[in-house]
Amino acid sequence: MSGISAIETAFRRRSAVTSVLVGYIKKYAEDLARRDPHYVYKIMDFCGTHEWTIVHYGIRSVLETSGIKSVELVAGPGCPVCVTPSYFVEEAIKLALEGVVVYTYGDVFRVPALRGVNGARSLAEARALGGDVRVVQSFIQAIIDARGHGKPSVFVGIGFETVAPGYSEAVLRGLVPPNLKLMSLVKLTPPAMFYALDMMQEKPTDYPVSGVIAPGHVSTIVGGKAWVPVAEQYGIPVVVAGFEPHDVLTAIAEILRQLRRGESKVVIEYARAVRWEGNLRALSSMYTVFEAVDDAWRGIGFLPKSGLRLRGAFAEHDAMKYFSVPELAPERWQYDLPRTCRCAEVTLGKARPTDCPLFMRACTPDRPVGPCMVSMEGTCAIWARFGGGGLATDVARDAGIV
Amino acid sequence: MCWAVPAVVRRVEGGVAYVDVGDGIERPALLGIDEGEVGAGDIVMVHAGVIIARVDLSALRESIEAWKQMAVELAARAGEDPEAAAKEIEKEVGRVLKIAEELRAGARAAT
Repeated sequence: MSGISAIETAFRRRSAVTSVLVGYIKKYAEDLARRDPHYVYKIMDFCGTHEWTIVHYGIRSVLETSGIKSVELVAGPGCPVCVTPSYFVEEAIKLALEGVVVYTYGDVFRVPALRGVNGARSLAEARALGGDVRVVQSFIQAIIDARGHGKPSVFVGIGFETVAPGYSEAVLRGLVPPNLKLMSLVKLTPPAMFYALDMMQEKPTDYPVSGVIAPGHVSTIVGGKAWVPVAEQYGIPVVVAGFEPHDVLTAIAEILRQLRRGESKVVIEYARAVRWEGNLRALSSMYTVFEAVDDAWRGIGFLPKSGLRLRGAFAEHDAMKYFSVPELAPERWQYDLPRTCRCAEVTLGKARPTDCPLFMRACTPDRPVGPCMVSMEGTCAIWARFGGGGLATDVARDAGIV
Repeated sequence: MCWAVPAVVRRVEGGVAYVDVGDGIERPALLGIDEGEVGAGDIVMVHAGVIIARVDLSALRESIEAWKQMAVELAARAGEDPEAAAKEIEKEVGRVLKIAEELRAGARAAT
C-alpha cells in the first residue's frame, strides 16, 4: 500500500488515539451526568459527510457500547440534494425533454421530483424518455464536454459554499462556453443552521441542541468565524471538524469539555484545512459573481439570504434568464415532499430516518421516495447503507458481543 | 455538501491544477485557492472538481498535542504511565506525517 490510501489507513487505524478520545468523552459525560443523570446532550452534526463518518465508522455504537448514554448525535441539514426544491428539478426535467443537454451530479440525476413532467419524475427518467442528461463530477467536466458539441446546454449547479467558488472561478476566467448556461441553486449553510436550531428551541422534541459539529469543508471557504453568531446567539459550543473518525471524536470531546466548563466558543479542530478567516480569495470570487437571495429549501420553505444567484453583470451565463425559467417566489412555493415522507424533519434533526414509516419499506436506495434517500449525504441513504439507528448494536447484543 | 477527496497535485498549468486522487489518473481541477499557494507534491482537498484547501499537515501537530494531553490526563487518572501514553500517540500520528512527507518528496507514488 502506498500514497493517499496509505495515509488514509494510517489516519484511521490509530487505536491508541481512539481509546484516549472515547475515554475522554466518557470522563466528561460522567462529570456532566452528575448534574442531571437523565439529561441528554444533543450534538448536531450539521454536515451529511459527518453523518456518513459517524454511521460508517459506527461512532454512535462506540459511544453506546462504552456506556456513554447521555450524548446523542443528531444529523442536520447538510445535504444540498435533499433541500433543492422539487420545482427546479421539474424545470430541469422539462429542459431535458425539450432537447437541452442537461449536466448534473449523480445524486441530482436520481432525485425524485414531486410532480412528474410528461411521465418523468427524475432526470434519470427524463434520460430514459430520450432526454440528453449527462452525469458529471464537476462544472469543469461539463464545460469541456459542452465546448465539444456546441448544443444548448444547462448545468444544474446545486451545492453549498464549497462548490460556489468553482462556479464563479470558471465564469471569471472566461471558461464557460456561450452554449452552456448555469442554473445556480447554491445554498448557504449558516441560515440553515440558524433555522434548524430555532426549530429545535421553539418546538423542542425533547432536549435542545447542546453543541454543533460544524461542516469542515464548507468552513474552508467561510472560515471558523462564520459560526461565531451560532455560538453567541445560542450559547453553545461549535467545533469545526474534519471527516476522519478521530476528528469527529475530538469534536465531541471538545464540545463536552466546553459544556462542563460552561463555555460556548468556536474551535477549529480541522486546522489542517480550515482557517479562522476562511478562504478570502474564494469568498471574493463567489460574491463578485453571485448575490445572496432569499431561497426555498425543500420541505422547509423560504429562508432569508440563503441562496446564491448570478448577478446581473453575469446574466449571459444565467440559465434561468436564457431558458426563461421563472424564479420561485415565496407566494408560489408549496410544500414539496411526498405525503408521509419525513425528509424535512430528518433534515432539521427533529426525526431519525427510522421514525419515518416509509424508511426501508416503501423508500429504499434503489427506489427512493424522498430526497434524503438519494444522495450519499442524505441521512436516510446513509442509514440505509450502513445500518444506522442502532441496528448494528442490536445485532451485536443478540450475538452476545456487547 | 462537504464531500471532498484528498489528492496530490501533479502540476499546475494555465490556472488549472492536474491532480491525482490515488488512481494514477491526472484530472483537471479548478483552483479555489491562490495559484501561488499550491505546487506539485502538495496534498489538497478536491470538492466537485475544485481545490478548496491545501492540507497543512504541520497543523496536525496541534491535534497531536491535544491528544497527548488527553492521554496524559487519562493515564494519570488510571494510575498508568503518562509518558508512555503520550509516546504511543506520538508514534501513531507520526506514521501519517511520515507518509505525507514521502509523498511530497516523490519517494512514494500517489497510487
